[in-house]
Amino acid sequence: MSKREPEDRAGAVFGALSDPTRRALLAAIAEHPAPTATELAAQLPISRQAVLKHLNALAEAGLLDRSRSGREVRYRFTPGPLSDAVDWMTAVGAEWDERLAVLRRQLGAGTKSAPSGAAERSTTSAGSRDRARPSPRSAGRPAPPPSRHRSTPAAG
Amino acid sequence: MTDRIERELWLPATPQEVWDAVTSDGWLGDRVSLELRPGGDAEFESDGELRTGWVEDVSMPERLSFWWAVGQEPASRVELRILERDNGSRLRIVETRPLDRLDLVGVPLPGAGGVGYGPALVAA
Repeated sequence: MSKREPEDRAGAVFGALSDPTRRALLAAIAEHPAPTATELAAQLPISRQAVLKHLNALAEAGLLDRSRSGREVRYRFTPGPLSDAVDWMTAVGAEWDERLAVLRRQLGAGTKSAPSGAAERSTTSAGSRDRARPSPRSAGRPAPPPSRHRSTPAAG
Repeated sequence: MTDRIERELWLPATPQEVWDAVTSDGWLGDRVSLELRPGGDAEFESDGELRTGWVEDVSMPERLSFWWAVGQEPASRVELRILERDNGSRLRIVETRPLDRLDLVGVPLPGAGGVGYGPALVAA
């Protein structure tokens, strides 16, 4: 897992999250202290077999940590890989902001002022619309981490 | 669905001036080599890092799309559009990284808001 390229991993993460059942599972796991597959199956309208299948997909994407406890395996939510996708967009977004700043210095310094309503616009999305949006003023510097992203899970 | 970066900038310059600036050395890379035809080779070198790729489509001075990647990393697609607007030019940039494994259309990701998941997931 750790040997895979970050971009590669981001694809796996979004893939794992693309299934509504898996997202519901992840939510249930994040809200409980290390549940087992049996406990999760009791909460959701799917079989323990199905739960295990989805847990495997989530663990493959690095979103779950498995630990053996007696005869059962307990699952914990590990949100780290979620940041890979955000990292790509933060890094690439910052590169473009820097390039745009160069262009503005090269072509924009000058005589004409930008017409109203022609302000810069930037959008960054990973299936969501309200993630990192580095401000144009951050051009030339690495964009700050998006405020919505925290590395520590609120429950765990 | 793809990861996507989008930027727009208005510049007090003609589309041709913007085109020249964005395709010259020093913008997409310190050294830029673009074969301006569909399927043409593209090379960008900056700080010793080489990005290679190919040109997907060209319509000078309005549109350039190409793919680039560093080494064996997954490639991303860049589209530059330059439109004459308000006595200047509007440059629109879209860089996308296709996630080809699974379709993500309409998937609310954690943190996207409006999704009834627990606070832990939203915080993640």
